Amino acid sequence: MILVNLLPQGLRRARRWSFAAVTVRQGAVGVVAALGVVTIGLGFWRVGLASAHRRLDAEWKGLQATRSQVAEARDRLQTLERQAGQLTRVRATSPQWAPRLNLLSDALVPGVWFTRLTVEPVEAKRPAKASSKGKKGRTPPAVAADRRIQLLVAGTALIPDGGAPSPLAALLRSLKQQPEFTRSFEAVELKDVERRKLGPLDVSDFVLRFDVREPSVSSTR
Amino acid sequence: MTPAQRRLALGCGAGALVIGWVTGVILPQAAAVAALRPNVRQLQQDLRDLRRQTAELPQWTQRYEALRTELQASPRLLAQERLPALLDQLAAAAKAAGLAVEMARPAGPKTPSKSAPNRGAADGAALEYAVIPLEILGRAGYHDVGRFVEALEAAQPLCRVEALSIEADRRDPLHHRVALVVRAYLAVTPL
Repeated sequence: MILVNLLPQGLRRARRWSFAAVTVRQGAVGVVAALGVVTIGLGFWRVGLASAHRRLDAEWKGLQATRSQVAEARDRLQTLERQAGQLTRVRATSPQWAPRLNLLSDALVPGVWFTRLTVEPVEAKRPAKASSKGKKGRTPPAVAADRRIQLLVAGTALIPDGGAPSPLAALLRSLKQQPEFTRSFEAVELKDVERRKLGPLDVSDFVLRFDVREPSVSSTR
Repeated sequence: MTPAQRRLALGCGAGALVIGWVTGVILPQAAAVAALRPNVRQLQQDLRDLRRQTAELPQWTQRYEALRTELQASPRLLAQERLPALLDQLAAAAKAAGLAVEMARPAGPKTPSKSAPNRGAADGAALEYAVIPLEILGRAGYHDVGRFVEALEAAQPLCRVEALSIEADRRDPLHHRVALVVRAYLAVTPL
């Protein structure tokens, strides 16, 4: 079947562009034009960037004095801020002894007296190791050690006649009844109890060992 | 040369020309642009930061001065020179609490650190404050010691009791022999 377009030339729809219709010469001109545009564009961009770089570099170098002033001020402030943080942590972590001394004096019962009280840091207590299952050869991360501090209280207690309650037991009970006790001490241990005569009285010398844990400064960060 | 051969030769020549142009002109340009761009961006960012920091400089100075006053920080070289004032301060606190000081002196640290004996340190990271251990010997009642320790722990600069010993004296049951090792933490400025 032959179709005949009877519309006048001016009213006909324009034929769609087709790649096949492009001649080799047109293609070559297009490619050369595109390459030229890219080359010129890149050239302008490069020149612009180089000029901006030179200008910014000169500005940066010109601000040398300001830079060193700013760096010095920042370093000084950072040092003091670091110290303030560290001192705050020391303040928060190191045990306070005034409340503990108060606690001991509040807990004291008749028939018991202290003869010596000593506070001494003992040793660094390493936290329990993490399970080493399947981690052969791997170095464990450096863990801060908490400090264990011992409070040793030596004293003497009367030994009551008959079935009267022991003042020493009453002291331990009274200590543990203090609301602050568990917050102040990790453990208390009665040791070295020794019976002796003090004139007409039977007394026992004893030593109470209280454990206090001081968290390391870094473990509270 | 046949027309087909001529077209082939022309095509190869044009292709070679295009490849040469791209590799010889366009790619070096693009590489130069790619090298310059991050530098320019970095410089722009640095300058922006510097301008912002310069604007913040008065606030930094204000904060620094406030912290310096709060911590009573002094230059590191002067830290030792603060010792007499510190001893006076402790003596005054002791007197107010009722502790009769027999001796107060700087003490060697109980467990000296090989690296920095007079500097706070934890986990190998050097801390920036000076630690001055002080030994105080005196006589006082139990509650006087408690008051003194309380005053000490609230003192500025920060002081902490490192070791304490209270021993009863049979000759004077109301006044015990007291020995304290106190650590004073002094903030120091870099200058």
